[in-house]
Amino acid sequence: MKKKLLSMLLCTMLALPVALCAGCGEESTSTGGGNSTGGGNAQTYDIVVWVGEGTDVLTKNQIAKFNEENEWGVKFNARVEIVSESKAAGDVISTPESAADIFCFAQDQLARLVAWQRLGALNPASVEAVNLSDEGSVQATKIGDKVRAFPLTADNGYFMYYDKRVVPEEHVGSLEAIIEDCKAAKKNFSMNLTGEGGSWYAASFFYATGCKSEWQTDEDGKFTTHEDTFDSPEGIIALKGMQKLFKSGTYQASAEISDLTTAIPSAVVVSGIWSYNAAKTALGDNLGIAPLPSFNVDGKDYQLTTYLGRKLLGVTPQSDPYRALYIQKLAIYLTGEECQRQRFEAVKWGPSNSNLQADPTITTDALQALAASKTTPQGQYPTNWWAKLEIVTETVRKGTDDEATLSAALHTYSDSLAGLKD
Amino acid sequence: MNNQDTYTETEGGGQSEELAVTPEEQSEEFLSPQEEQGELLAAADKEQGGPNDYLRLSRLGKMGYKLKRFFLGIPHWFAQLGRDIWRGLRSFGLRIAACFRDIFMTFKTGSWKTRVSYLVMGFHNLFAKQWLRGLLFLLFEGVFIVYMALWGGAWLSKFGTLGTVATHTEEVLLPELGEYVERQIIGDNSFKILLYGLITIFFIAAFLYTWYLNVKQSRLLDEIERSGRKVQGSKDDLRAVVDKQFHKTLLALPVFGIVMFTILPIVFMILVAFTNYDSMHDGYVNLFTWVGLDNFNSLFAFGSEVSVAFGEILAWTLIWAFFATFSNYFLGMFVAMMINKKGIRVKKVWRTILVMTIAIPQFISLLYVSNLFAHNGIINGLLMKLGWIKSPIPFWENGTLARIMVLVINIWVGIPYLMLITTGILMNIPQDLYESAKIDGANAFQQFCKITLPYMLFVTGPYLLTSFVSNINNFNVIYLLTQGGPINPAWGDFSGAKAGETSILITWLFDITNSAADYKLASVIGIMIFVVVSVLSLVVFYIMPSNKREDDYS
Repeated sequence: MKKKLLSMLLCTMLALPVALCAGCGEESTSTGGGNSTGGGNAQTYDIVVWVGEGTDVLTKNQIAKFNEENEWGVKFNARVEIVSESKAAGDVISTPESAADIFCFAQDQLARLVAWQRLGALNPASVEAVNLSDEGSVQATKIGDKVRAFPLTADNGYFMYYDKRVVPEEHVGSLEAIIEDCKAAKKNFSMNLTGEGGSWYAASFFYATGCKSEWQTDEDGKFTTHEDTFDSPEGIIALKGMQKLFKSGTYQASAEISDLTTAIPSAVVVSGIWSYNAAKTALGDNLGIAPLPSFNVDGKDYQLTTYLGRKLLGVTPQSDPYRALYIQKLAIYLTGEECQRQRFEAVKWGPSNSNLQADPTITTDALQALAASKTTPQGQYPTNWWAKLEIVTETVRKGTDDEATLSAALHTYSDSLAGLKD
Repeated sequence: MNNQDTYTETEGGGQSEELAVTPEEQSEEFLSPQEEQGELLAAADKEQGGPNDYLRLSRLGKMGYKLKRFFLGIPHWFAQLGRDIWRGLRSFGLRIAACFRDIFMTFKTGSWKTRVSYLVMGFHNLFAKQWLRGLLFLLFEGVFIVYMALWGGAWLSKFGTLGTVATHTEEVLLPELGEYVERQIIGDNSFKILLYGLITIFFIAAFLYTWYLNVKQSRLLDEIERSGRKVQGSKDDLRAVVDKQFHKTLLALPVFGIVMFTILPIVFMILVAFTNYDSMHDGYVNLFTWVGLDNFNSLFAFGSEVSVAFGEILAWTLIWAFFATFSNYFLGMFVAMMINKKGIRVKKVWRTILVMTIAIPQFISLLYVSNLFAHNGIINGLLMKLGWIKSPIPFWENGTLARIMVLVINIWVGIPYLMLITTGILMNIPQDLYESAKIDGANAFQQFCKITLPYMLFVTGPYLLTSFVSNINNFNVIYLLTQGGPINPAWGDFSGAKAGETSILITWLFDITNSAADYKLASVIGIMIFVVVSVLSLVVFYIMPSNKREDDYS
C-alpha cells in the first residue's frame, strides 16, 4: 500500500510542474545581434565586420584605433572577415540572422538591401558625415531622400589593361584597330560581355550610343518607374558594336587578368582598379592602361562608356538602439578621411572623400584612366535587370546578323521590364 | 513479457485476418515465371493467330513484343495502381478504426488504474511496480506537455499562415545622447515556423503512438492482474533490451536518424512546393505563405517560359542519360574485351593507364579538361599555333558542340569503371560456349551478340539501371565542364537562373536554388525529378533481362 501511495505521489509531483508550465507558453522575443557587456556608455560590443579582399588587417587596426580614441568609451570586439563586395549583400539578404553588423557592398545592391530592410536609416550625425564625400557618392547612398549607407570608394568602373607590344598607343582609341592588332598577333580581347556578371560591362555599348536605362525607387527601395531606351535604333547600333567583337574571333568572355598569360593570351583585358596589381605583375613595363575605346558603325564613332559606381559600407538593423548608434559611429570613422587615406595607401582604392579627391598625391595610373573615361553614374537596377540584358547579349553572341532578330531581342527585353517593378 | 508479446501478436493477427489479401488479388500481383511465360505465349497466340508464334520471334522481336505489351498494359497498370492505393487507404483506415475501437473498449472495460493512465501516462505501470516503464511514459508525457506549452503550441498555431507579423523597424530617441536611431523589432520567421511546425507534427505523432502503447500496456496489466500471473519488473525490461528486444535497441538510433535527417527534410522540401518561398519572400521581412498548387500549375501551364525550359531540359536530360550510360557501357566492354584478347601484351599496363583517370578526383580532372578546351585554352592554342584553325573552336560556346563535348568527356571519365566491372564478368563466361559457337561456324560478331552481350546484360542489368538513374542526376560532369551553359536566350532567365543548352534537371535545380533563390520552383522540380526517375526505373526494370528467369541466361 505504501508503495502504491508513493507511486501516486510521484506521478502528481511530476505532473504538477508540467501543468503549471502550460500557462507560460509565450515565445520569447529574440533581441538579435551579438552580445554586449558592461553598462551605461562604457560598453563592449561583439560585432562581425565583412570587408573586401586585402583590407581585413587594415580594418582590424582601424577598429582598434577607434576603440582607443572614441569619445563615448565604447569598445568593439570585432571579428573581421573577408567577404567580397559583390557577394556580401546577397549573404546579408539570404541569412539575416547570421549576417555581419557592418559590411562592404557594391552600390547597385543598395535598393535591394533597403527593400529587404537589411539597412537601417542613418541618423542625422551619420548623414552629416556622408556629406563630406563628393556629390556623386552622396547620391549613390540615397534611396528616395534617405541616406542608407556610407560611401567607401568612388572608383568602381572599368577600363582597358593592354599589352603595349601588341596594341600601339595610337590604336587604343579605336575598337576596330585594337581588334586588328589582336588578330595579327593571334591574341584575344578579354571583355566579359556574356559571362557571369557580363551585363555590367555590356551596358557600356548602350550608353555609348546614347541609350539610357534609369530606374526610380520609393523610399522603401521598391522600383516604381523606369525609363529605358535600349529598345531603339541606338540600341541596334550598340548590338552591332558588340557584334564586331563577337565576330572577330578574338572575343574572350572574361575580365580576368590571368587571361594575359593563358595558352592563347589576351592582349587586352577590360577590368577595374582591383586588377591593377595583378596586371602590373603580368606585363610589367609593357602594361598600358587606357579608357575604353570607341567603336564605329555606319561611319560614326561611339565612345564606350563605363559605369562609375561606389563601394558602400552598410550597417545591419539592430535590436538594441545603443548598439545601433555606436555601430554607426564606428562606420563614420571607418569611412572617414583618415581611414580612406590609409586604404588608398594600402590597396590603392580611390577615395570618395572630397578632400582626398582634391589631393594630387592620391592617384594612380588606373585612377587616372578612370578619371579620363566617359562615365555614367551607376544607378539602382532591379536584380533581374542584369539577367534580362544578359539574354540580349547572348542572342547577339550566337552570331545573328539579322537586324530583325536583334530588334526582336530588344523588344522582348523591353517587354519584360515592366515585370521587374515591385 | 512473453504474455504481453503473445497478446500483441494476437491483436495483430486479428487485424490481419480482416485485411488479408484474397487469393484472386494475390494472383494478379505475383505471377510465377512459368505463368508469365505461359501468359506471353497465350497472348501472342491470341494476337497473331498461330500457336507459339511468340517462340518463333527473334530476340529483338521478342523484346519489341514485350515492349508493345508493356505500353498497351499501361492503362491496366494505372488501374492496378489505383486499386492498390485504394486498398492501402482502406487498410490504413481500418487499422485506425481498430485502434479507436481498441481505445474505447479498453476505457469501457478497464480498471480505474487503466482509466487514470489515459490521463497520466504510465500510472498503471507505476502502480504495478513497473518503475522503468512507468517513469519513461510519464517522463515522455512531461516532456511533451512542456514542449507543447513552451514552443510546439506556438509553432503549430502559426503553421496555417506561416506567420503574420514580419520583422520591422521603428525610430527611437536616446535621451541621454540626444540622438534618434532606428531599432529592429523581430517578428515571425516563415522558414522557422514551417520547419518547427513540421517537427512538432512529427512529435505529436510520436506522442500519440506512445500514448496508444501506454493504453495497450495498461489493458495488458489488467489482464495479467485478473489472471494472477507475475508482472514483468524493471530488471526484466532491462534484460529484454539487450536480449529479446535487442533488434529494437539496435534499430532505435538509425530509425531516429532516418526520421530526422531523411524523412523530415524530404517532407519539408515537399511542403515548400506548396508555398511562395522565393527571392521575393524570404520569410523574414516578407513572409511566405501557402499557395496550394499554384507552383505546379505554372510549371505545367502550356507555353509558359518555365514549362518550355522544363520540357527542353527534361528532353536533353533523358538524351544525356541514355547516351552517357550506353556509350560508356559498350565502349567500356569493348575496351575490356580488347585488353583481354589473347595476344595483347602488357595487359596490366593498359589497365593501369585507364585506371589512372579514376585515381584523380573528378572535380580536378573535369575542371582541368574544361579549361583545356576553353576558348583560350591549350587545345585551341595548339591548333592555332599549328595553323590548323584560324580562330578558336567554340567548344563550350556552341550549344551542339558543347553537348557533344560533355558526352565525349564523360566517356573518357566513365570507360575505366566499366572496363574494371566488365573484365571480371568477361573472364567468368564459360569458354566452352565460345568454342562450341566457333565449331558451329559463328563469327566474332555473332559470338558477341549471342553469347557475350546476353550474358553481360543479364549480369549487369541492375548496374545499367542504377547507372542510368545516376546519369539523370550526374551533376559533376555537366556542372564542372559547362556550368550548364551556353545559355539559351529562348528559354528565359527565371529570376537569374538561366537555363543552358547542356543544363540537365539537376544542374538547373542547383542554379534555381543557388543563383535565383527560387526555392518553390526548385522544390517542384525536385519532385518532378523524383517522378521521372521512379517512372523510368520502373520501365527499365520491367524490360531488363535480370528481371526475368535466371535459367534463360546462365
